[in-house]
Amino acid sequence: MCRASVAGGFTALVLAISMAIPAEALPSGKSEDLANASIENLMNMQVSSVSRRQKELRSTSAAVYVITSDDIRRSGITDIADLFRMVPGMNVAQSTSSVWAVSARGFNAQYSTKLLVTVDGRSVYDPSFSGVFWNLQNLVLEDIDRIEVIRGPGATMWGSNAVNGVISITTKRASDTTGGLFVADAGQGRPGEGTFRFGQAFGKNGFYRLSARQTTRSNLTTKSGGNGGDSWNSSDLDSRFDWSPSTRNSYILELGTYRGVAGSTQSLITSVNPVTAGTVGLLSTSGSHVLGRWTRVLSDSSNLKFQVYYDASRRAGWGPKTTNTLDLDLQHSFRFGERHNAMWGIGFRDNFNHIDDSLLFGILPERQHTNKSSAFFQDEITVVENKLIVTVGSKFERTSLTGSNVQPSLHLIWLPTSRQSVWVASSRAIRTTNIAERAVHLDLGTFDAGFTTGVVEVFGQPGTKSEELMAYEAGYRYQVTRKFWVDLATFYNNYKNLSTSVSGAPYFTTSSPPLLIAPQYLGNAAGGETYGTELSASYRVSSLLTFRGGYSLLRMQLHADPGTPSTVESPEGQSPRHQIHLGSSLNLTKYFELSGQSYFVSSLPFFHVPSYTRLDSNITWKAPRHSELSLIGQNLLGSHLEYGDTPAVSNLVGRSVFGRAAWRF
Amino acid sequence: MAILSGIKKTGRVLPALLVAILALSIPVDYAAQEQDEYEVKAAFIFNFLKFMEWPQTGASGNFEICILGDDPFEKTLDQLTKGKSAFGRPIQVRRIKDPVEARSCQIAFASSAERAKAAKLIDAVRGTAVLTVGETPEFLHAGGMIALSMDGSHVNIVINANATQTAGIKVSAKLMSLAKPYKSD
Repeated sequence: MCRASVAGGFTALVLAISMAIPAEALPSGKSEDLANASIENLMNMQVSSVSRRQKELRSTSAAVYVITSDDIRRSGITDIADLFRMVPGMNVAQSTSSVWAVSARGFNAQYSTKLLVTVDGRSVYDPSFSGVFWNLQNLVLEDIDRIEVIRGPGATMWGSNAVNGVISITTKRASDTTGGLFVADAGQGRPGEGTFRFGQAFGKNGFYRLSARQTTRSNLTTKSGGNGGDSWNSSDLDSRFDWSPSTRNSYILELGTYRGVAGSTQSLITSVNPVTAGTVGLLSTSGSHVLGRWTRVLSDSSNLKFQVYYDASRRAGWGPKTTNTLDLDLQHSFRFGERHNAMWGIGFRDNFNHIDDSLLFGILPERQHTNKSSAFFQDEITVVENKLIVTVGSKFERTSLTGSNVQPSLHLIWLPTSRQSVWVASSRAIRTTNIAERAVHLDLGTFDAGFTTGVVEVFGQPGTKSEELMAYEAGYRYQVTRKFWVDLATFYNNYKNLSTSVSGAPYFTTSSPPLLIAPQYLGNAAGGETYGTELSASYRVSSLLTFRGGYSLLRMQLHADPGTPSTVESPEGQSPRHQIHLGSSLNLTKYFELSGQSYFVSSLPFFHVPSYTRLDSNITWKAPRHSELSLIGQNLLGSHLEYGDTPAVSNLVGRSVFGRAAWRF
Repeated sequence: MAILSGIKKTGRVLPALLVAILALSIPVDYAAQEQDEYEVKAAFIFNFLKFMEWPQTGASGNFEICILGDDPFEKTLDQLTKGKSAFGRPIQVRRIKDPVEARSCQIAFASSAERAKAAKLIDAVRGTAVLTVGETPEFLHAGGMIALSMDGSHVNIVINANATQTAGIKVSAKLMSLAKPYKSD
């Protein structure tokens, strides 16, 4: 009741504000000002590419949502995973200070397997566990230029694991981040954290920047009101060099490193003889990456991109693990004839994993070397100019773990008027099985078996297969006016070989005393259909006031294979059926900015997590001397639970009100 | 209970706070807004007229700025040039479909969405004094004269001096010094 009234009050307020400001609040002399501006002034003007992006979106035959640097700044959000709450069709659920479950179009899990994430072209999806560790992607949010989120498969371009969605994060060019920036946050739940960045020109045609971020989060609260034991610290250092020696050639070099420690109360067996249950305790993580990219304009109709990166990450504490990835990628885009806009590429990726084997957890052999070679082509064919575009393409991959696969797609877009578009798409995508599903053994927990101790143990199976998706999508976009646009997307997904964990017949070990093992065997014993609709709308009342909103509907119908228990259908109850987002941002004066975001998420029946509404709001004062002061409120409606206890215990996500000081020099 | 009352309190305080801030903020100040990319690009094109000279400026009739195909400016370029003249000739903004139509224009613009037609436009006006304006390095590589390209959140001017010279269009030293030169390698 109370929460509903707050959300209702907020909505009413936002509507009241919108009506109070005339729709055409632009000063009449604006075009006169621009006509009289000097070339120097024009060159120095901060330019927004919103209208261009909306236009580009209008002719995109996929469900795309773009988060701009301005959206990030105004959201008051401090953790990258939380940004995706505003994206229709995506579900974000925070479990602990450092663990988020993030997915698109269902199957949400703490290690969501069907969402591919890249940062400046570097995949941060961990193929050994099939998922993204969001606490390791702790980017300086001020460095992000834009985030493009595609719901639905993107496998033709991005390859395997781009099944339910692709997130591409692009950081700003170093030439856009010259000067210094210092940001400090302190308040509820964050005793003190901050960002420091410095950038400048180097040489004749180059720029660099260095960014550092320190994150410090307090423990959350458990469901029973106790200490969540999940405090999190992370230090991140990133750098980027951009060099354009000529109009035709440009180079990018990125170097990054991080180190973090997070508490985890996930229960585990800590010793086998005697069997003792405990918790994971502290998990420390560290890693580094280096990425280089060369882009060359070959002719007026073609260009070439070559990229190489190396990424190393290490987890210490429970289940020590090292992962090293080397990736090479070449892409050539060119036009031929009047109607073809084509692209092809080849890639090679080498993955090396080392996981220390112990009685409690391991993947044998300890050293796992896998590689993947891939090639793709895509052709965008203009069938009728400015009216009908067909895009056809396919990815071809060969992995050392699973052999060859083909992931084709066909997209069609029709633009009946310059303001409307209708698109349909059909694609195939796979989520490759991983070394854990093939060969893991993990003691998950204990139970009382009467005269002895029972142990739940998970076993990977050598024959696990890749999950397969056939997706059918359709969408409609309508730019009603220059200021108001609507985007509707709908999908029907058909999955085969879904990954499952099924209980086997218990048995006794030959040890003394014997233990009762309750085995869980990993396999592919389910299939299913999901379908849903995502609606988003944006209304720019004036250059001062903007509203954004969205609604998502998701239905999941999974089917256990004959002879398999229906427990494998549990992901049905782990993603919300309904989600609503409403956001507004307002420039009160030249000096004040105000924004508010509210999110409604329906219940997760499987975890008995009730529906909740999250409200964020912040106000920024642009103070003199290039400084800014903000008061940011996250989760203003108070504590609630967002996810279940699988595999890590979920704590209550509490209110956090904190202050921010930012200074540019 | 404590949590509940906390929620109730927030429920009343927060909207009240927002309304208070709003009330204090009137009158609203419109300055310091980000400009739309194409408003700025339209202003650049209009500004070129002050820094360039066309060989047959004695000619009569309208001074035509033509937009090939896709029009990202919508109405901004028309509003900017409404009632204005260049070299004593009234400025007119014209939308064209066929690159060949550009021969009678003084400025011809091809947006990045018209990549396929851009090369044809450049070929069509070769040997005439039509200033070709595009948005990408590829446009210059094909022989285009000026690219209004985005460099992060700023608009950059890149000038292909060889091409303007060949066409007999004079670019002032000031504009040359502000623009980036086009380097083909």
